[in-house]
Formats: sequence, C-alpha cells, structure tokens
Amino acid sequence: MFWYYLKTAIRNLWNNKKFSIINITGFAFGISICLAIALFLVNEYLCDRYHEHADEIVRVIDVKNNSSSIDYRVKDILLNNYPEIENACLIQCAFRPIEVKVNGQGLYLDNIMSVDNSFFEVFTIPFATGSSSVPFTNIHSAVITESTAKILFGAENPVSKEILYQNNVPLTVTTVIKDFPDNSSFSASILVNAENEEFKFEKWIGDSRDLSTYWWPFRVYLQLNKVANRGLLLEKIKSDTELLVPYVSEAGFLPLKDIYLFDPTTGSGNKRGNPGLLKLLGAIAFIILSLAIINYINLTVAQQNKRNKDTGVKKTIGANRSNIFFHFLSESVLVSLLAFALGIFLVGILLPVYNAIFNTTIDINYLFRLPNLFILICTILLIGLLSGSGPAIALSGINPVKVLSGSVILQGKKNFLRNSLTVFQFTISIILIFCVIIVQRQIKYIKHKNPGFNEEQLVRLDIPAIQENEAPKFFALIEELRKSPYISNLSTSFGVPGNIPLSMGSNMENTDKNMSVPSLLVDTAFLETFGIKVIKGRNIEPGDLEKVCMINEAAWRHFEFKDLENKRFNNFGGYDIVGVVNDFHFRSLHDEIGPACIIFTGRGRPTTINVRFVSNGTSPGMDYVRETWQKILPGFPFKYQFYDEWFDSMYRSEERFAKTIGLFAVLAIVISCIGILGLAIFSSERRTKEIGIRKVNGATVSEVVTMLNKDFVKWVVIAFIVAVPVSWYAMNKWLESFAYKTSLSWWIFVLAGVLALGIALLTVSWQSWRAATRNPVEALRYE
Amino acid sequence: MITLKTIDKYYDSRFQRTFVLKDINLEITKGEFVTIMGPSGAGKSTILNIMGMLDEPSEGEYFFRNEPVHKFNEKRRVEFHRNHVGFIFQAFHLIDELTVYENIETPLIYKGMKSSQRKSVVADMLDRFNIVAKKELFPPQLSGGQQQLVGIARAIAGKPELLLADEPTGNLHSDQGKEIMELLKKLNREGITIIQVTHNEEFAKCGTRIIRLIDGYITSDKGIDQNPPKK
Repeated sequence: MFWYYLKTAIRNLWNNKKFSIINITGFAFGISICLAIALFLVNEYLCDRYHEHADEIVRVIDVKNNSSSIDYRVKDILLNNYPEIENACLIQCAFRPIEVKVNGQGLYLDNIMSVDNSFFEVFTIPFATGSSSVPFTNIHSAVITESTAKILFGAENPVSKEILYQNNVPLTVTTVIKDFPDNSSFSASILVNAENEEFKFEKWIGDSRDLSTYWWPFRVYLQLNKVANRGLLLEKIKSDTELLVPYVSEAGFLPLKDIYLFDPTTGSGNKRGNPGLLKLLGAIAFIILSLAIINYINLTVAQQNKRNKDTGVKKTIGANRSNIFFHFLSESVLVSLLAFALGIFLVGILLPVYNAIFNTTIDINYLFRLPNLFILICTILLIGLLSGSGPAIALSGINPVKVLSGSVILQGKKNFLRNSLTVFQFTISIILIFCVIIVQRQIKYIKHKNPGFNEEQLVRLDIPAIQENEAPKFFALIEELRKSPYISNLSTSFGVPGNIPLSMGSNMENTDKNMSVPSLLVDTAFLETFGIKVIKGRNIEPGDLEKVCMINEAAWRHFEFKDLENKRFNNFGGYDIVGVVNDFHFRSLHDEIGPACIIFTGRGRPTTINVRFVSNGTSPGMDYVRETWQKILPGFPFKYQFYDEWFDSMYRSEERFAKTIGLFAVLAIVISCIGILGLAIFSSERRTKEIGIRKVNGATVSEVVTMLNKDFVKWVVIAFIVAVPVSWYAMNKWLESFAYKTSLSWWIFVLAGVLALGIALLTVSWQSWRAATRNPVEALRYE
Repeated sequence: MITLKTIDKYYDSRFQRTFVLKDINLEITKGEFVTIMGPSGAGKSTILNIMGMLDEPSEGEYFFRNEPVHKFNEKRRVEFHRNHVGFIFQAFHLIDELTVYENIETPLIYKGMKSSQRKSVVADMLDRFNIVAKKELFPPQLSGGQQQLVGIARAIAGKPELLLADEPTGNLHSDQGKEIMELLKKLNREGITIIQVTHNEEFAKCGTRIIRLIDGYITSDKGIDQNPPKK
C-alpha cells in the first residue's frame, strides 16, 4: 500500500514536470535560506560551548553596579576561601591595534589579551606547539596564535623569540596556540601575563595619594565544582562580608554561555553577539518558510482540475477519504523531501560565499550529525504533512459525480483563503522592496553628506609609540615630507575628524552651560589641511600657538554666545576663543554633531600626521611618503588611512544590512512570483470555458488578457494598502538610529508599489496570454 | 437486489427547486440486464449514481440487498460500494499515470487485498480480456476500445455483484461498441447484474429490460423478450 502511494506520487510529479519543477525549486529556495539562517543561529547560540568545563564556568560580576570590572585580587580571595571553586582565572581584553616590533621591524597586531596561567586550565585552549600547563614562565612570557606566528616569524619556530611591545616592553614567546575559533567570545593575536604590571591595562584611582584606593579591574572567571550549588555559594559569599566588601559590595555569577548574547553588564570587554539580529533573522526564516509552504499549497491546488478527475475516479473505484488524503500527503512529503535535498545542496554551494561576507566559519556538516539529522528528518516530514494537508483537506471531500461530469470545483470560501495568502506574499514583497530602497537611499545620503571638511586626497598617518630620544626623527620626517611637490598641506594633531579621544571641561566664566567638550589639539596648519572654514571671528595667525582656540557651530549654539568678546576656555592652560568653524563630523553620522573645540597648541604628543595631496598627486605622493618614512623611521610600523575610505567604512554594518535586506527582498519576490504564477494558471484554467465562449463571441486576445490581469491588479492593490503603514513604521524606527536621515517621501511608496505591480503583471501576463490564445474549440469541447 | 422507493433528487437555488428525479420507484432483481434510456437531462446518470452510492437522493429510500443505503454514513457507503459495485464510464476515466496492470490492480489495493492474491486476480483479468501483451502500456497508448476493456476489467476485478455502465459505448465507434456490448452480455450471463445508460436503441436491446425516463419521471418500464417470436 505504501509502495502504491509512493509510486503514484512519483509518477504524478514526473508527469507534471513543469509544475513539479516550479514547486520544488520554489520550495527549495525557501528551505535553503531557512537552513542557512538556522545554521547561523545555532553557531551564534553555541558560542563558547566548546570549552570542556563550559557548564561550570561563570564570571564574577558586581551586581550593584552591574559591571564585570572586578579587581584582580578578588580572584585569590574567592579561590582560597571557597572549596566549591575548583579554579579561577583573570582575563582582560583590549580590542585595539597594538604595536609590536620583531627583529627591528614594527607592525600592528589586532587585539591583545592579558591573562594568568590558570586561564589555560579553566578554558580549553588547544596548543599548536607542544602543551604546557604553565605557558607563562615569567612576567615576560607571551603566547601567540598560529596566524600571528605566521605574520611575525613566517615559517620559523617562534618559541623563545623576542617581541618588543609598544617599543619598550620586551617579551619572549613561550608557546603558540591555535587561533580562537569564530564561535568564541575571545579574540586576540597575543596573550600576555597579567602579573606583569605593564599588562594591567586599566587602573582606577580613587585618591592619588592613597594607595589603597588604587584598583586594577579585570574580568574574573570561576570554574565551579560540578556539583556546587550556585545559589548557596552566593549566599555564603554574601554573608562573608569582610572578605569582599572593599572590592565588590554584592557579587553575582554570570554563566559562560550567557556572555556572548545575554550579558547585561558593562565593562565586559569581549566579543558580543547581537540577540536583536538573531531574533530578526529567526523571524525572517519563519516568514520565508511560510511563504514557501503557502506557495506549495497554492500551486498544488492550482493544478487541481486534473487532480480532481483522478480523485473522482479513485473514489468511484473504492477509495475512501483517508485514501485520498494519503495520496496528497505522500506527494507533499515527497516534494518536501526533494525540496530539502535541493535546498541542502544550495546551502552547500552558497555557504562559502556566505562565510566570506559575514566572516564566519559555519559548517554544513553540522546538519548531518546525529541528533540534528533526526530533527532534520522530522522537520521534512512535518513540513510535508503541513503543506499536504491544505490541498488534501480541500480536495478529498469532493463529490466524484460533480467532478466526473466536468463542473467547476472549489467554492468561493476556499478562494478567499488562497487569495489572502497571495496578498500576504505580496505585502511582504512590497515592504521589502520599500525597505531596500530606503536603506540604499540612507546609505547614499550619509556617505555623500558633507562631513564638514574636505575628505578627498587626505590621508592620516598614525604616529607609533616613540621614545623621547627618538623624537627628533619625527621632526626630520615632517621636514622631509613638506619638501614634496605632491603634498600641499601637512598638519599634526591629537584627535581628528572621525575620532576625538580627548574631552575637557570648558570651565568658562559667567555661564551655566559648562560641559565636557571634545577637544582636538592641533598645530596652526590644521584648518587649512582639512579645509575647515572659519565662519565667525578671525582666522589663525602664526603667533597664535598656545594662546587661542576655536569652537564649532554646535558649541556656539550650545553656549548661546552672541559674540566672541572675552570668551575663554579655562582648562589645559587657558585659551581665548577667537573664531567659530563650520561643524564637521567627528564620529559617524549615527551621532549628531555636538560641540567641539580646536585648541592650537604644541603641548601634548600628537598621534597623527595628516597629509593633503595635490590633485592627481595622491599616488606619487603616497609613494614618496612611504619611502621617506622607511628611510627616516625604519622599523616603525607604517599605518595610514585615507579619510574618504575611513568614513565610508563606518557604515559597513549598514551596508551589510542593506545587502541582507536586498537579498531577502529578491527572494520574497521570487517566491511571490511563483505563487502568483500558480494562481494565474489556476484561474485561467478555471475560466477556460469562459475564455472560449468570449473568444467565440468576438473578444480579441488582448481584451481577454486584460480581463484576466484585472483580477491580479486588485490583489496587488490590497497588498499595497496593507504594506504602506507597516513599511513606514519599520523604516522610521530604523532611521531613528541615525542623527542625519534621508526622507521617507511619498513617491518611494508609489515606486515600491509600481515595481511590485509590474513584476506581478509580468508574471501573470505570460500565463494570461497563453490562456487567451488557446483554441476556443478545445475549451468548449464537451468532455 | 435493488429497491428504489419514491426517490426524489432536486437542487435548491434561491428562487426555485429544480427536480432532476421525481418519484422514482424501481425494483431490480439479481441477474437482470437493465437499460435506462431517455433524452439528455432526463436524469439517467443521476439515477445511476444514486444506485452506485456515489450520490444521495434528496428524498426517498434506497435498499440494496435489503439494506437501507440512504441511512448509511459515508464510511459504510464507501465500504459497500467497494465490495459490491463496479463502474464503467463513457470517458473510460482510467488513471493515466498507471499502467494497464496497475489500473486493474488499484481497486484491489483499496480493498486491502494481499499482494499475491492481487497478482492472480489481475493476471486472470488480463487473460480473460486478452490484453496480457498490453499490461505495461499506459492508457494514452491504447485505442478507445482497449481503454474501455481495461475499464471493464478494472470494474469487475473485485467481483462486484452490480455493474453500472454510464454510456459505455459513447466514445467508441460502432465496431468497438458491438464488442463491448457482447462482453457485457457475456458477463451478465455469468451472473453479474448490469444496469446501463445509453442513447443507442440497438445496444439497449442487448439487455433484458428497458426503463425510459423523461424529465425525471419513469415513463415506461418494459422487459425485453430476448427471443422474439419469429414472424
């Protein structure tokens, strides 16, 4: 019996090749996306689970201040006093490029972690060369990852080699570990010993005269006993108040598995996932799957005329309702199986591309591991049953008599369901089209918005850490650079448009609007190099160094100045405000431009040299800069960044979002088109007789086509009406994260609607044309 | 075997009630070969469908082998239908996706017959109708007459007591039609009760009784003398 169902299902699919291919492919598309998203979600969710003791590891947090920054001495206190704690370690991550020198040659590495030896016991850190339970033999020991070893030492064995950190701390490589996997919240090129005072990166000072108010915050991780009761342990810790009170008023535990996605504390210092994004992706996967299932149901029911006859015949030869039911289910399960197979194949192909875009290492073989394979098969069956029940219920109850005598089936009730499903598909498509247009517009807008300075042909050179005695080399470099005909301006500064690390209190008299103002410390060539205009007051003069500063328009508005008489910033020595410059962006366009101040001073060590090239002089100019640098500062890492590229890159996550939305929009449209194609076929077959009669009575092909198309326009219009408020709300919300937004003009809505309508008509017209050109005699022949 | 008592069949629309069958009273005994005739729209197919339990009368009673079919629920109806009735159609209505062999086998599968038993029944049918050579072909590859043969084979594979034929020769030309009618006569002689609907006066005479329907009423119900006295 089962064999019979399978046989008929296969034969049915084979004989309706056109439909089967459309059906299965559409389904497979939807499934492949869902699988890809599922793999991604699982990957994110399983972050950090690979550690052997993962279930027993927690991080100590300060509940009262909601912070993960805990003084390092807490670790020993806890370890020594509570036997429930098997092991504990310290971690501090610094996510910034760090400068190292190897064999006299300097370069930058990404991310450094400062840890103790127990780190390698608590966490599962596979070693690449040998294994030692105490990788740090002294405070100068360093552990590097395999890729770092390759960068620093090429093919040589890095063990026992020297690295000079920030040009003044010597380190010796003791071990090489494997790179951190991408589903780990840790990320570092080099690990150093936290016992070295140099590597206690953060220091908090309460009162600089009282040593007991000095604090060195770290992340403290505990590995608890397998059977330890955490609640009881915390109670115990709470009751032993004298032990921890100077450091943590109320301690709490944050489990390791929550750290990547669900960490509520500040100061966590590790890679963070984005639970909001995961939810969004999950919703998208669900929507896409629903669309695919809806399509299957629509398409299957659409080719029902032929099915109905068969169903009727079967009923006359002894099939009962459940037999018919199983016929449909076996077919839908078969389609589901084939669609899944094709979908998995598609995922296999697309995964490498996907991994490249999102910088992940998702592995498709995860699907085939045992418990997952079982879940996969159950899902296939479930989806098959779900999608089959639609047509099965609708069609198993038909009266064979009606069918065999050729009358029309499926009452208006079922039509409503099918039509509303299609409207749903189109609504989603229109919303997505709209979002794509808006996101692209916003990105274009912020990229082209005037940043307030001339960002072209302008490059920033980062000044590495130099010892005092090497400072004269710098000045030599600047002198040499000035000599180039390709360079029109040059300015050194601490703080640049795009990054202002320093903020100082304004400390002005006679005002209640004092605030901490982001401040740039610059030389007198700064304004001209950056092309920032002075719009009020006077321009800079050579004798102005150490005496004057300028504020931006936002500051002028904030302080409510009426003029520049007697305005003075009393900080850092005191500077008269002599001019107002136009606003420029010192962060990405996510943030509104706030008050800023440009202080012309020679004090404070500049961290950047900013070079402007003449037109068409950028390329030879950069060559000259590079050669001069290597001549005068050999061994110092040469790091530069062009301003236009830098500002562009600030919107990378938006661009990625735009790509993702674009992809989903295309998908939703494809799926919707398949759906509407099915509907069109159904509708035109249903009206075959009507079309035949009309043609016999004189209707032209185009009149018939228009008549058939009219129906669909109706559905698309309804979808449009529903889509407009939803899209408007969604995009408004998204734009809120930008201080500078593009507008949600009415014509964009219209464009989205017209596009959707155009696509729908295109799909439908082909089928309508086919139906309209059929020979009316065939349509009217009595069966 | 079949008793129809005051059977009515009507369709209600908003303004009126359309009668397809009105006050039908009929008795058919086992072994008869009945022909139902009448102009188009007279209700012939409807009566056949009611007798074949494919349709329900709006009013009246239908007894099949003294069982009240009109009181059956769907499940029982299907069961009865499976075991006692075979159907032949004007348009053959074979399943195009299945071979001749499989078409004949299908009703047996629905009945739940075991595989080995099915094999022997189908083989017997193929043999009887002389279509063994065609058993792996698909219906579109057969001529009209052959398709109807398969249809008949399928209908009687389950050894039903009643065979209902709705214009069995309607899509066939006269030679094929004659063959089919001969076959039906033979089956009737072997004991199957046959009720057919046809327009063809000549083929109507193959049976033992003619019932004429006009506008839903039975207007005449006469037995046929198979061997009319020679003049």
